[in-house]
Amino acid sequence: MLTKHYTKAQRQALNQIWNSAGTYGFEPMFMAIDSKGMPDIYMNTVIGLVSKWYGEEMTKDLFGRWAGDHRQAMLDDLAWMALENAAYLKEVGGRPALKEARRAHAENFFAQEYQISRQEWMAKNQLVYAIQSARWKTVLGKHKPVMTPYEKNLYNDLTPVHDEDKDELEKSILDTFKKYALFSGEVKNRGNKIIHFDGKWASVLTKFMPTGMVHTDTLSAGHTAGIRANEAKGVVKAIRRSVVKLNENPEEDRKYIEGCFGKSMYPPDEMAAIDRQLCTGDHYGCHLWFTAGAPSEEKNRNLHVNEESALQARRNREEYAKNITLYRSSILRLTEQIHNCIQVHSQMETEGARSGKLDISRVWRAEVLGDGRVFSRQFPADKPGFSVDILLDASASRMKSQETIAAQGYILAESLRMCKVPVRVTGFCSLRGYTVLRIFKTFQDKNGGSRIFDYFASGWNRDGLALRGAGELLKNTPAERKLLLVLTDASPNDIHRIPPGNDHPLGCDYSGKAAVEDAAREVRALKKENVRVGAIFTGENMDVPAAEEIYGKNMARISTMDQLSGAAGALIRKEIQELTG
Amino acid sequence: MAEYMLDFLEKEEQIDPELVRGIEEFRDKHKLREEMEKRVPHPRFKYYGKEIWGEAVAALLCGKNLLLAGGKATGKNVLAENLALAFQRPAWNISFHVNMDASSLIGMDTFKDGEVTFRPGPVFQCAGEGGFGILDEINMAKNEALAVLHEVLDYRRSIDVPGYDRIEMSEATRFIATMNYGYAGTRELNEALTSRFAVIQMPTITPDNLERLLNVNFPTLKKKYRNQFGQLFFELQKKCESAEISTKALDLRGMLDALDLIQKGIPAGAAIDMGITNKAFDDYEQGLIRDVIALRIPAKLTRRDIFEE
Repeated sequence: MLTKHYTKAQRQALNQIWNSAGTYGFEPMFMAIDSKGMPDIYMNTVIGLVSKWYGEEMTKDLFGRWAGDHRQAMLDDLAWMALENAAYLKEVGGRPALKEARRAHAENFFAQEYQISRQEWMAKNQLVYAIQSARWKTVLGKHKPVMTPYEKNLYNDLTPVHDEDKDELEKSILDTFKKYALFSGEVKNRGNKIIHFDGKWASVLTKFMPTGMVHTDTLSAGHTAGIRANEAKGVVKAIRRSVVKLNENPEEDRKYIEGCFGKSMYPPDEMAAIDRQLCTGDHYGCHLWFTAGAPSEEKNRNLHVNEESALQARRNREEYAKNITLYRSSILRLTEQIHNCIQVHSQMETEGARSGKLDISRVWRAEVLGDGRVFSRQFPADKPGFSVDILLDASASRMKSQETIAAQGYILAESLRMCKVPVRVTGFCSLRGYTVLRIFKTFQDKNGGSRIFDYFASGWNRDGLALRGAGELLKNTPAERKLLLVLTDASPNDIHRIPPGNDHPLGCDYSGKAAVEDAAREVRALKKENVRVGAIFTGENMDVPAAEEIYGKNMARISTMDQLSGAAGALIRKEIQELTG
Repeated sequence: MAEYMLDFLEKEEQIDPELVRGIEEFRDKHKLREEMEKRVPHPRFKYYGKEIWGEAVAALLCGKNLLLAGGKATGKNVLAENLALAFQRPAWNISFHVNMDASSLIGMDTFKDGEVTFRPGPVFQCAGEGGFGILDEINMAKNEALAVLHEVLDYRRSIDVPGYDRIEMSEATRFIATMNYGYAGTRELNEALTSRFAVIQMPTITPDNLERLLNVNFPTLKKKYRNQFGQLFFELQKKCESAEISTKALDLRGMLDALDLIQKGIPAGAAIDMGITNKAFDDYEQGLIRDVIALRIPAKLTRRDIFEE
């Protein structure tokens, strides 16, 4: 199963590799992408052919031998020259078009010489360039470039004229590298100088170094790139759960939340009534905040947060724009699937017609008015008859995949909108005792859900209260039948503890078993209200039982966020079938 | 043409000679009326596959109705039409869709000269005439609409038209349904209906049979390219099975159309675009399809490169 997220060009490159390998789904070690970011069809075909003729294991074994060596890039390039030659000889008999593709690749190699910058030239390894140049000139039927005897012999050894089996090929490449003193078999690393500070030096230096904020009770709208960079640097911040509420000033908290997320959709007295009604039991002392992101005069209080969230929104939009073709394709496919499903399972309505079943009550019209429409016929109702609410977990655990979640949420919303299914997209997170439900797309947004790109991740996730809040929102839907889809890691977790009560006499943390039981109870409550609840689970293996406990069988598991719309589509189709009987 | 079909079955497909005798006896017993001759299909392609031919002919000779289940480009409709031709029966091709109801199958009331009259539907006509009813994509319709077919398909072999009469079906009538299982939007057939058919799971065309098909339809196609077009079809099929592209481009008929166009002088690239690539309307998907094609059939090839003069 694929575990990475691929761009459109990478996905196309993968398809080229899989096609020539004759097998799909594996993750190759290499992918050929040219300097313009486009897939190189010939070299990708070669990568696939090497896998087909020699097996994926051979590639891993061979390239693994010099992994980490300071000359790794050069050795990789030279080994690919030998593999290209070998794979070509094996395949060309059964695939004559490969000759033409190889020629086109060779022409492109020299055409690019005039296009690359001085920096790119300087980055090229001269030995690799000499060997590649000789290979592609030969392919074009031209004289080889002037080479030193060392280069000439190396070229010949990397270009055997007969095809070899797997072991012969591997041995011949390693022997050649040894013979020309390129790689002795032992990895040589120049070594990075790592200076390790601890004690008070560490605390001084940390102030000047970037740190990754994961969970804190003050909102941090970190953006994905920053988090990844920090992770790569090994910056990890321990999370300490507070046992007491950090800020005891309710008015200050409310202003903070309003400044970060926007004004509440409900007037204060109505909001207070909702709190009184819903923030009970395990959620006593908590608050709910429903917002559509309307700007508030409090926003200047949290200038930094607002700048960060605006930056993330820009990143979300840029990421979508970069892969717009791929995403549009996903929208079209999903729309088609849902549309077909709605058509097949639509309810029938009756209308008057000139043929069909005789409608006795209208027969007089034929005699008196000469109107032949005295029959009735059935036709499928145009309206899908149900609405979909998508609830996205927007807690800090999602920080690494914010752009993908925004894009996938948009794909889902757009596909449903094109099928005329009313759809609302809401994000939820918990902060300073407030569980915030932020509506990115309302049912009335007929022109699409571009505000979904305002998605950003922060804070904790008090799933039980968020589900209660969603239940409140679900009271107001344009269709009688309702479907709620929750994107979740089934790991509810909030800094605000469960207060002492019947189940927990001393109170307990809102996490683990207690939180899972609470979320499961809320899902059951929604089901009682005739809301169908489905989950797209993105968590770890250890959280699978929790997800099953909360959502039962209506659950699809995905390993990467780019599978979100596909999994949601499958759940929606299943629900349509059941909703319409 | 009809006689040629029996020769084809006996000599080329080498099906059991007893079955061919069975078809001859069937034809003798159920003579085709002259006015129905134009309803006997003359399919452009022949179905290749000895085992499937044998199973289908045997089932029809035993009076069974057939359900041909299989993915796209497995030749379900080609086989259905080939069977009608081999048995010399008029065929009614009924394409099922989501709005199909009982009246569109059996018939419906209409107003004619101030009177309500019954206008017979295709199943009614087929049953009376002893034809072969080809129920195309039967699982696109709702199960309720199909319930009306139950008595047509089982031992009762009759149609009761409410308010009119009960029509006994001709002894020669057979129904051949096709279904593409798993296609988005299709539904499962209910057990009651499925049990009234003998079901044949249609396999994908084999490389040998695809080569035969290309050879018969394009005798001047060079051997080298016959093989490459065959491989191209199977590579696209694998891409569909891996869900990297939709089934729109997996179109055997489209590939044969492209060869027709090349023969008429259109360059390979443009012809294959018309026959295969452009059937996917999405740019990204088209890109993936073109990559597969480029490594089998270079776009600049012409009639002279691909066909013998």
